[in-house]
Amino acid sequence: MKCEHIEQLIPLYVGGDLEPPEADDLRHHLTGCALCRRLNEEFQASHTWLSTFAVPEFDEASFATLRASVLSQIERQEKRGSWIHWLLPKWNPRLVLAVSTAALVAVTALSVAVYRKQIAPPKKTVGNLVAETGIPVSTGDGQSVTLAENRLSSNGNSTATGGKRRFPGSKTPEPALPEEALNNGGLSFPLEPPVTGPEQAESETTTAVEPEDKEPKEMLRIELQTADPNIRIIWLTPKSAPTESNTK
Amino acid sequence: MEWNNAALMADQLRFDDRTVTPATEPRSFNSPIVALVMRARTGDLSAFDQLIIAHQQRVIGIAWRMLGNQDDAQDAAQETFLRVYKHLNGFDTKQDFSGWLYRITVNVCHDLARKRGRGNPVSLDAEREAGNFAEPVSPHNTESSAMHAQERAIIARALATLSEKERAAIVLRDLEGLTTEEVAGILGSTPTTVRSQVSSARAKIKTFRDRWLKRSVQNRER
Repeated sequence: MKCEHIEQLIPLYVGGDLEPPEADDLRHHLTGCALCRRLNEEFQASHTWLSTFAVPEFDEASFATLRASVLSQIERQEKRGSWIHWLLPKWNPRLVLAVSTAALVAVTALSVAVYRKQIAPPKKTVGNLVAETGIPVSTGDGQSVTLAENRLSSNGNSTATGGKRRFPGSKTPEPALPEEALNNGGLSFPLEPPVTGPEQAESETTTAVEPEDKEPKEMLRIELQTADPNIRIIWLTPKSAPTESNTK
Repeated sequence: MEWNNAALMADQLRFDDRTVTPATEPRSFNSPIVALVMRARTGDLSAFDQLIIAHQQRVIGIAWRMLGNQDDAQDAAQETFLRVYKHLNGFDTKQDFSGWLYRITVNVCHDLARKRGRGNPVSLDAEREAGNFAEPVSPHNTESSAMHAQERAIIARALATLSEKERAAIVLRDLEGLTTEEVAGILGSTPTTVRSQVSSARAKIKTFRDRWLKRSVQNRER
Protein backbone atom coordinates (compact mmCIF):
# COMPACT_ATOMS: atom_id res chain seq x y z
CA MET A 1 0.00 0.00 0.00
CA LYS A 2 1.20 3.46 -0.88
CA CYS A 3 1.03 6.40 1.51
CA GLU A 4 -1.46 8.29 -0.71
CA HIS A 5 -3.87 5.41 -0.46
CA ILE A 6 -3.29 5.07 3.29
CA GLU A 7 -4.04 8.76 3.80
CA GLN A 8 -7.45 8.18 2.28
CA LEU A 9 -8.13 5.15 4.43
CA ILE A 10 -7.08 6.58 7.78
CA PRO A 11 -10.27 8.67 8.29
CA LEU A 12 -12.26 5.48 7.86
CA TYR A 13 -9.88 3.40 9.96
CA VAL A 14 -10.23 5.66 13.01
CA GLY A 15 -13.98 5.14 13.01
CA GLY A 16 -13.76 1.41 12.41
CA ASP A 17 -15.28 1.67 8.95
CA LEU A 18 -12.73 -0.48 7.14
CA GLU A 19 -13.18 -4.12 6.27
CA PRO A 20 -10.91 -6.34 8.42
CA PRO A 21 -8.45 -7.25 5.61
CA GLU A 22 -8.05 -3.59 4.66
CA ALA A 23 -7.59 -2.62 8.30
CA ASP A 24 -4.89 -5.29 8.67
CA ASP A 25 -3.02 -3.99 5.62
CA LEU A 26 -3.21 -0.47 6.98
CA ARG A 27 -1.92 -1.50 10.41
CA HIS A 28 0.95 -3.27 8.74
CA HIS A 29 1.80 -0.14 6.77
CA LEU A 30 1.67 2.03 9.89
CA THR A 31 4.29 -0.03 11.64
CA GLY A 32 6.82 0.86 8.96
CA CYS A 33 5.79 4.45 8.07
CA ALA A 34 6.30 7.21 10.63
CA LEU A 35 4.51 9.85 8.55
CA CYS A 36 1.35 7.81 8.20
CA ARG A 37 1.57 6.80 11.85
CA ARG A 38 1.61 10.45 12.84
CA LEU A 39 -1.33 11.22 10.58
CA ASN A 40 -3.22 8.34 12.13
CA GLU A 41 -2.54 9.68 15.62
CA GLU A 42 -3.84 13.10 14.63
CA PHE A 43 -7.01 11.59 13.23
CA GLN A 44 -7.43 9.51 16.36
CA ALA A 45 -7.11 12.64 18.52
CA SER A 46 -9.61 14.51 16.35
CA HIS A 47 -12.03 11.58 16.52
CA THR A 48 -11.77 11.45 20.30
CA TRP A 49 -12.19 15.22 20.49
CA LEU A 50 -15.39 15.00 18.42
CA SER A 51 -16.81 12.28 20.60
CA THR A 52 -16.70 14.65 23.58
CA PHE A 53 -19.47 16.62 21.93
CA ALA A 54 -22.02 15.53 24.47
CA VAL A 55 -25.56 16.74 24.43
CA PRO A 56 -26.24 19.03 27.38
CA GLU A 57 -28.68 17.84 29.98
CA PHE A 58 -32.22 18.91 29.21
CA ASP A 59 -34.34 19.20 32.30
CA GLU A 60 -37.70 17.51 32.62
CA ALA A 61 -39.48 20.87 32.42
CA SER A 62 -38.26 21.45 28.86
CA PHE A 63 -39.40 17.97 27.84
CA ALA A 64 -42.79 18.58 29.44
CA THR A 65 -43.09 21.86 27.57
CA LEU A 66 -42.23 20.09 24.35
CA ARG A 67 -44.86 17.41 24.84
CA ALA A 68 -47.53 19.87 25.90
CA SER A 69 -46.84 22.02 22.89
CA VAL A 70 -46.97 19.06 20.46
CA LEU A 71 -50.16 17.63 21.91
CA SER A 72 -51.95 20.99 22.02
CA GLN A 73 -51.07 21.61 18.38
CA ILE A 74 -52.34 18.19 17.41
CA GLU A 75 -55.61 18.84 19.24
CA ARG A 76 -55.99 22.17 17.50
CA GLN A 77 -55.35 20.58 14.11
CA GLU A 78 -57.82 17.82 14.80
CA LYS A 79 -60.50 20.33 15.75
CA ARG A 80 -59.92 22.18 12.52
CA GLY A 81 -59.92 18.88 10.64
CA SER A 82 -63.22 17.80 12.19
CA TRP A 83 -64.81 21.09 11.12
CA ILE A 84 -63.73 20.43 7.53
CA HIS A 85 -65.07 16.89 7.75
CA TRP A 86 -68.39 18.23 9.00
CA LEU A 87 -68.51 20.61 6.05
CA LEU A 88 -67.31 18.05 3.52
CA PRO A 89 -68.02 14.60 4.93
CA LYS A 90 -66.60 12.81 1.91
CA TRP A 91 -63.56 15.03 1.77
CA ASN A 92 -61.08 13.54 -0.63
CA PRO A 93 -58.27 15.78 -1.85
CA ARG A 94 -57.93 13.89 -5.13
CA LEU A 95 -61.62 14.14 -5.85
CA VAL A 96 -61.60 17.83 -5.07
CA LEU A 97 -58.64 18.32 -7.38
CA ALA A 98 -60.34 16.43 -10.20
CA VAL A 99 -63.61 18.33 -9.82
CA SER A 100 -61.79 21.68 -9.69
CA THR A 101 -59.82 20.85 -12.82
CA ALA A 102 -62.95 19.77 -14.68
CA ALA A 103 -64.75 22.95 -13.63
CA LEU A 104 -61.81 25.06 -14.74
CA VAL A 105 -61.72 23.38 -18.15
CA ALA A 106 -65.47 23.84 -18.59
CA VAL A 107 -65.32 27.53 -17.70
CA THR A 108 -62.38 28.05 -20.06
CA ALA A 109 -64.18 26.32 -22.93
CA LEU A 110 -67.32 28.37 -22.33
CA SER A 111 -65.32 31.61 -22.24
CA VAL A 112 -63.58 30.75 -25.51
CA ALA A 113 -66.91 29.95 -27.17
CA VAL A 114 -68.47 33.23 -26.03
CA TYR A 115 -65.41 35.19 -27.05
CA ARG A 116 -65.40 33.66 -30.52
CA LYS A 117 -69.01 34.61 -31.05
CA GLN A 118 -68.29 38.16 -30.00
CA ILE A 119 -65.28 38.73 -32.21
CA ALA A 120 -66.88 37.45 -35.40
CA PRO A 121 -69.77 39.82 -36.21
CA PRO A 122 -71.01 39.84 -39.81
CA LYS A 123 -69.44 42.61 -41.76
CA LYS A 124 -71.60 44.57 -44.04
CA THR A 125 -69.44 45.26 -47.03
CA VAL A 126 -70.40 46.85 -50.24
CA GLY A 127 -69.63 43.57 -51.91
CA ASN A 128 -71.91 41.73 -49.51
CA LEU A 129 -74.57 44.30 -49.86
CA VAL A 130 -74.52 44.10 -53.60
CA ALA A 131 -74.35 40.36 -53.55
CA GLU A 132 -77.27 40.11 -51.20
CA THR A 133 -79.46 42.52 -53.07
CA GLY A 134 -78.55 41.28 -56.51
CA ILE A 135 -78.08 44.80 -57.77
CA PRO A 136 -75.74 45.08 -60.73
CA VAL A 137 -72.20 46.24 -60.19
CA SER A 138 -69.76 47.64 -62.61
CA THR A 139 -66.68 45.57 -63.25
CA GLY A 140 -64.76 48.59 -64.40
CA ASP A 141 -64.53 47.44 -67.96
CA GLY A 142 -67.88 48.71 -68.96
CA GLN A 143 -69.71 45.46 -68.21
CA SER A 144 -72.37 45.38 -65.58
CA VAL A 145 -73.16 42.15 -63.81
CA THR A 146 -74.79 41.25 -60.57
CA LEU A 147 -72.65 39.54 -57.98
CA ALA A 148 -75.47 37.20 -57.24
CA GLU A 149 -75.42 36.10 -60.81
CA ASN A 150 -71.68 35.62 -60.58
CA ARG A 151 -72.09 33.40 -57.57
CA LEU A 152 -74.83 31.49 -59.29
CA SER A 153 -72.70 30.92 -62.31
CA SER A 154 -69.68 29.85 -60.29
CA ASN A 155 -71.35 27.69 -57.67
CA GLY A 156 -74.49 26.76 -59.40
CA ASN A 157 -76.41 26.73 -56.17
CA SER A 158 -76.67 30.34 -55.18
CA THR A 159 -79.96 31.69 -54.06
CA ALA A 160 -79.91 35.19 -55.35
CA THR A 161 -82.94 36.85 -54.01
CA GLY A 162 -84.27 40.23 -53.07
CA GLY A 163 -83.38 42.31 -50.04
CA LYS A 164 -84.80 40.15 -47.24
CA ARG A 165 -81.97 37.63 -46.88
CA ARG A 166 -79.90 37.28 -43.77
CA PHE A 167 -76.20 37.89 -43.62
CA PRO A 168 -74.36 34.67 -43.19
CA GLY A 169 -73.74 33.96 -39.54
CA SER A 170 -75.97 36.75 -38.39
CA LYS A 171 -79.13 36.37 -36.42
CA THR A 172 -80.40 39.85 -37.18
CA PRO A 173 -82.11 40.45 -40.45
CA GLU A 174 -80.01 42.27 -42.93
CA PRO A 175 -81.01 45.88 -43.43
CA ALA A 176 -82.78 45.96 -46.73
CA LEU A 177 -82.20 48.71 -49.20
CA PRO A 178 -85.08 51.10 -49.35
CA GLU A 179 -87.52 50.32 -52.06
CA GLU A 180 -86.84 53.69 -53.58
CA ALA A 181 -83.19 52.93 -53.90
CA LEU A 182 -83.92 49.64 -55.51
CA ASN A 183 -86.53 50.94 -57.79
CA ASN A 184 -84.97 54.19 -58.81
CA GLY A 185 -81.57 54.40 -60.35
CA GLY A 186 -80.18 51.21 -58.84
CA LEU A 187 -76.68 50.81 -57.47
CA SER A 188 -73.66 50.49 -59.58
CA PHE A 189 -70.39 50.18 -57.71
CA PRO A 190 -67.00 49.33 -59.01
CA LEU A 191 -66.44 45.66 -58.26
CA GLU A 192 -64.55 45.35 -55.03
CA PRO A 193 -61.17 43.67 -55.26
CA PRO A 194 -60.95 40.44 -53.26
CA VAL A 195 -60.32 41.05 -49.61
CA THR A 196 -56.76 40.12 -48.79
CA GLY A 197 -56.30 41.44 -45.27
CA PRO A 198 -58.04 42.90 -42.30
CA GLU A 199 -57.24 46.48 -43.31
CA GLN A 200 -58.99 46.08 -46.60
CA ALA A 201 -61.88 44.38 -45.00
CA GLU A 202 -62.24 47.23 -42.57
CA SER A 203 -62.06 49.84 -45.27
CA GLU A 204 -64.94 48.16 -46.95
CA THR A 205 -67.11 48.38 -43.95
CA THR A 206 -70.13 50.54 -44.47
CA THR A 207 -72.92 51.45 -42.25
CA ALA A 208 -76.14 51.64 -44.09
CA VAL A 209 -77.73 52.90 -47.16
CA GLU A 210 -80.17 55.55 -46.20
CA PRO A 211 -82.42 57.63 -48.34
CA GLU A 212 -82.80 61.14 -47.06
CA ASP A 213 -86.21 62.58 -46.92
CA LYS A 214 -85.00 66.13 -47.30
CA GLU A 215 -83.63 65.56 -50.78
CA PRO A 216 -85.70 66.72 -53.68
CA LYS A 217 -88.02 63.99 -54.73
CA GLU A 218 -86.45 63.63 -58.08
CA MET A 219 -82.95 62.85 -56.56
CA LEU A 220 -81.95 59.88 -54.39
CA ARG A 221 -79.10 60.34 -51.96
CA ILE A 222 -77.22 57.28 -50.69
CA GLU A 223 -74.49 57.62 -48.08
CA LEU A 224 -71.97 54.97 -47.32
CA GLN A 225 -69.79 55.38 -44.25
CA THR A 226 -66.49 53.56 -44.47
CA ALA A 227 -64.44 52.40 -41.50
CA ASP A 228 -62.42 55.55 -41.85
CA PRO A 229 -64.62 58.30 -40.35
CA ASN A 230 -63.12 60.82 -42.77
CA ILE A 231 -64.29 58.93 -45.81
CA ARG A 232 -67.96 58.84 -46.66
CA ILE A 233 -69.30 57.87 -50.02
CA ILE A 234 -72.28 59.95 -51.07
CA TRP A 235 -74.28 58.73 -54.01
CA LEU A 236 -76.71 61.03 -55.79
CA THR A 237 -78.82 59.55 -58.49
CA PRO A 238 -81.92 60.79 -60.24
CA LYS A 239 -85.13 59.07 -59.38
CA SER A 240 -85.98 57.50 -62.63
CA ALA A 241 -88.19 54.58 -63.43
CA PRO A 242 -86.46 51.32 -62.62
CA THR A 243 -85.05 49.44 -65.51
CA GLU A 244 -85.54 45.72 -65.94
CA SER A 245 -81.98 44.86 -65.08
CA ASN A 246 -82.08 46.92 -61.87
CA THR A 247 -85.08 45.22 -60.41
CA LYS A 248 -84.04 41.68 -61.07
CA MET B 1 -31.45 -3.44 6.61
CA GLU B 2 -34.65 -2.79 8.38
CA TRP B 3 -34.59 0.94 8.02
CA ASN B 4 -34.29 1.13 4.28
CA ASN B 5 -37.96 0.95 3.49
CA ALA B 6 -38.92 3.14 6.39
CA ALA B 7 -36.44 5.74 5.24
CA LEU B 8 -37.73 5.59 1.70
CA MET B 9 -41.22 6.06 2.98
CA ALA B 10 -40.16 8.98 5.08
CA ASP B 11 -38.50 10.44 2.02
CA GLN B 12 -41.74 10.08 0.11
CA LEU B 13 -43.57 11.81 2.92
CA ARG B 14 -41.09 14.60 2.79
CA PHE B 15 -42.02 15.48 -0.75
CA ASP B 16 -45.70 14.67 -0.65
CA ASP B 17 -47.31 15.41 2.65
CA ARG B 18 -50.62 14.05 1.44
CA THR B 19 -49.23 10.60 0.86
CA VAL B 20 -51.16 8.22 2.99
CA THR B 21 -50.74 4.56 2.45
CA PRO B 22 -53.54 2.36 3.64
CA ALA B 23 -53.06 1.29 7.17
CA THR B 24 -51.96 -2.30 7.16
CA GLU B 25 -52.42 -4.61 10.03
CA PRO B 26 -49.09 -5.33 11.64
CA ARG B 27 -47.92 -8.88 11.48
CA SER B 28 -46.87 -8.82 15.04
CA PHE B 29 -47.38 -6.68 18.07
CA ASN B 30 -44.16 -7.79 19.67
CA SER B 31 -42.88 -4.31 20.00
CA PRO B 32 -44.61 -2.11 22.54
CA ILE B 33 -43.72 0.78 20.24
CA VAL B 34 -45.83 -0.72 17.46
CA ALA B 35 -48.71 -1.10 19.86
CA LEU B 36 -48.39 2.56 20.79
CA VAL B 37 -48.25 3.51 17.13
CA MET B 38 -51.44 1.57 16.44
CA ARG B 39 -53.21 3.26 19.32
CA ALA B 40 -51.95 6.69 18.32
CA ARG B 41 -53.30 6.10 14.82
CA THR B 42 -56.77 5.85 16.22
CA GLY B 43 -56.35 9.27 17.82
CA ASP B 44 -55.21 8.10 21.24
CA LEU B 45 -53.11 11.07 22.31
CA SER B 46 -51.95 9.45 25.51
CA ALA B 47 -50.35 6.70 23.41
CA PHE B 48 -48.68 9.31 21.26
CA ASP B 49 -47.49 11.07 24.41
CA GLN B 50 -45.82 7.84 25.45
CA LEU B 51 -44.19 7.58 22.05
CA ILE B 52 -42.78 11.06 22.53
CA ILE B 53 -41.50 10.22 25.99
CA ALA B 54 -39.74 7.15 24.61
CA HIS B 55 -37.91 9.11 21.92
CA GLN B 56 -37.69 12.73 23.03
CA GLN B 57 -34.17 12.50 24.44
CA ARG B 58 -32.74 10.98 21.27
CA VAL B 59 -34.64 13.29 18.93
CA ILE B 60 -33.65 16.43 20.78
CA GLY B 61 -30.05 15.17 20.99
CA ILE B 62 -29.79 14.67 17.23
CA ALA B 63 -31.41 18.04 16.66
CA TRP B 64 -29.05 19.73 19.07
CA ARG B 65 -26.00 18.20 17.41
CA MET B 66 -27.29 19.08 13.99
CA LEU B 67 -28.32 22.64 14.79
CA GLY B 68 -25.95 23.60 17.61
CA ASN B 69 -28.31 25.33 20.02
CA GLN B 70 -31.05 24.44 22.43
CA ASP B 71 -33.85 26.65 21.13
CA ASP B 72 -33.54 25.38 17.58
CA ALA B 73 -33.24 21.82 18.85
CA GLN B 74 -36.50 22.15 20.76
CA ASP B 75 -38.25 23.70 17.76
CA ALA B 76 -36.97 20.88 15.57
CA ALA B 77 -38.09 18.23 18.04
CA GLN B 78 -41.55 19.76 18.19
CA GLU B 79 -41.87 19.89 14.42
CA THR B 80 -40.56 16.33 14.18
CA PHE B 81 -43.24 14.93 16.46
CA LEU B 82 -45.94 16.90 14.67
CA ARG B 83 -44.84 15.43 11.34
CA VAL B 84 -44.67 11.99 12.85
CA TYR B 85 -48.26 12.25 14.05
CA LYS B 86 -49.42 13.65 10.73
CA HIS B 87 -47.90 10.76 8.77
CA LEU B 88 -48.43 8.01 11.29
CA ASN B 89 -50.83 6.22 8.96
CA GLY B 90 -48.11 6.09 6.33
CA PHE B 91 -45.68 4.29 8.62
CA ASP B 92 -45.28 0.59 7.88
CA THR B 93 -45.38 -1.10 11.23
CA LYS B 94 -43.17 -3.91 9.88
CA GLN B 95 -40.35 -1.38 9.75
CA ASP B 96 -38.31 0.10 12.54
CA PHE B 97 -40.01 3.10 14.08
CA SER B 98 -36.79 4.69 15.35
CA GLY B 99 -35.18 4.75 11.90
CA TRP B 100 -38.26 6.37 10.47
CA LEU B 101 -38.34 8.90 13.30
CA TYR B 102 -34.64 9.80 12.93
CA ARG B 103 -35.09 10.27 9.23
CA ILE B 104 -37.84 12.79 9.87
CA THR B 105 -35.70 14.45 12.52
CA VAL B 106 -32.80 14.90 10.11
CA ASN B 107 -35.12 16.31 7.45
CA VAL B 108 -36.67 18.73 9.92
CA CYS B 109 -33.21 19.88 11.01
CA HIS B 110 -32.19 20.47 7.39
CA ASP B 111 -35.38 22.45 6.77
CA LEU B 112 -34.92 24.50 9.90
CA ALA B 113 -31.24 25.20 9.17
CA ARG B 114 -32.13 26.39 5.67
CA LYS B 115 -34.99 28.48 6.97
CA ARG B 116 -32.78 30.19 9.51
CA GLY B 117 -29.90 30.67 7.11
CA ARG B 118 -27.41 28.48 8.89
CA GLY B 119 -25.66 27.53 5.67
CA ASN B 120 -22.69 29.72 6.45
CA PRO B 121 -21.01 29.21 9.75
CA VAL B 122 -21.08 32.13 12.10
CA SER B 123 -17.90 33.26 13.74
CA LEU B 124 -17.23 31.67 17.08
CA ASP B 125 -16.93 35.03 18.77
CA ALA B 126 -20.32 36.08 17.47
CA GLU B 127 -21.80 32.84 18.69
CA ARG B 128 -20.22 33.28 22.06
CA GLU B 129 -21.52 36.83 22.29
CA ALA B 130 -24.97 35.62 21.33
CA GLY B 131 -24.70 33.02 24.04
CA ASN B 132 -25.60 30.23 21.70
CA PHE B 133 -23.10 27.84 23.17
CA ALA B 134 -22.67 29.27 26.60
CA GLU B 135 -23.73 27.18 29.54
CA PRO B 136 -25.00 28.65 32.78
CA VAL B 137 -22.13 28.61 35.23
CA SER B 138 -23.23 27.78 38.72
CA PRO B 139 -20.99 28.34 41.73
CA HIS B 140 -20.12 24.65 41.56
CA ASN B 141 -19.39 24.90 37.89
CA THR B 142 -15.90 26.11 37.95
CA GLU B 143 -13.22 26.56 35.38
CA SER B 144 -13.49 23.04 34.01
CA SER B 145 -17.15 23.53 33.21
CA ALA B 146 -16.44 26.75 31.36
CA MET B 147 -13.68 25.06 29.42
CA HIS B 148 -15.99 22.22 28.59
CA ALA B 149 -18.57 24.67 27.26
CA GLN B 150 -15.93 26.34 25.16
CA GLU B 151 -14.78 23.02 23.79
CA ARG B 152 -18.35 22.16 22.91
CA ALA B 153 -18.76 25.48 21.16
CA ILE B 154 -15.68 24.81 19.07
CA ILE B 155 -16.90 21.37 18.06
CA ALA B 156 -20.25 22.86 17.11
CA ARG B 157 -18.37 25.37 15.03
CA ALA B 158 -16.42 22.57 13.37
CA LEU B 159 -19.63 20.73 12.55
CA ALA B 160 -21.04 23.93 11.12
CA THR B 161 -18.32 23.94 8.49
CA LEU B 162 -19.61 20.66 7.05
CA SER B 163 -22.16 20.27 4.36
CA GLU B 164 -25.69 19.24 5.34
CA LYS B 165 -25.18 15.64 4.30
CA GLU B 166 -21.73 15.31 5.86
CA ARG B 167 -23.03 16.74 9.13
CA ALA B 168 -25.98 14.36 9.21
CA ALA B 169 -23.74 11.40 8.39
CA ILE B 170 -21.12 12.15 11.03
CA VAL B 171 -23.67 13.02 13.72
CA LEU B 172 -25.49 9.75 13.21
CA ARG B 173 -22.37 7.64 12.72
CA ASP B 174 -19.84 9.07 15.20
CA LEU B 175 -22.02 10.83 17.75
CA GLU B 176 -25.18 8.74 17.80
CA GLY B 177 -23.22 5.55 17.26
CA LEU B 178 -25.33 4.07 14.47
CA THR B 179 -23.81 1.68 11.97
CA THR B 180 -22.97 2.81 8.45
CA GLU B 181 -25.87 0.74 7.10
CA GLU B 182 -28.29 2.26 9.56
CA VAL B 183 -27.13 5.75 8.67
CA ALA B 184 -27.52 4.94 4.98
CA GLY B 185 -31.06 3.75 5.64
CA ILE B 186 -31.94 6.93 7.50
CA LEU B 187 -30.37 9.23 4.94
CA GLY B 188 -31.78 7.28 2.02
CA SER B 189 -28.39 6.63 0.46
CA THR B 190 -25.95 3.75 0.13
CA PRO B 191 -23.38 2.65 2.71
CA THR B 192 -20.62 3.55 0.23
CA THR B 193 -21.93 7.09 -0.01
CA VAL B 194 -22.19 7.36 3.76
CA ARG B 195 -18.64 6.07 4.17
CA SER B 196 -17.43 8.70 1.75
CA GLN B 197 -19.36 11.46 3.52
CA VAL B 198 -18.10 10.36 6.93
CA SER B 199 -14.51 10.17 5.69
CA SER B 200 -14.73 13.65 4.21
CA ALA B 201 -16.36 15.01 7.37
CA ARG B 202 -13.66 13.52 9.61
CA ALA B 203 -10.94 15.03 7.46
CA LYS B 204 -12.57 18.47 7.58
CA ILE B 205 -13.04 18.31 11.31
CA LYS B 206 -9.41 17.35 11.78
CA THR B 207 -8.32 20.27 9.60
CA PHE B 208 -10.54 22.62 11.60
CA ARG B 209 -9.14 21.32 14.88
CA ASP B 210 -5.55 21.60 13.69
CA ARG B 211 -6.13 25.20 12.70
CA TRP B 212 -7.79 25.97 15.99
CA LEU B 213 -4.99 24.38 18.01
CA LYS B 214 -2.41 26.29 16.03
CA ARG B 215 -4.21 29.56 16.64
CA SER B 216 -4.55 28.78 20.33
CA VAL B 217 -0.82 28.24 20.62
CA GLN B 218 -0.14 31.50 18.80
CA ASN B 219 -2.53 33.36 21.14
CA ARG B 220 -0.79 31.95 24.18
CA GLU B 221 2.62 33.03 22.89
CA ARG B 222 1.45 36.64 22.47
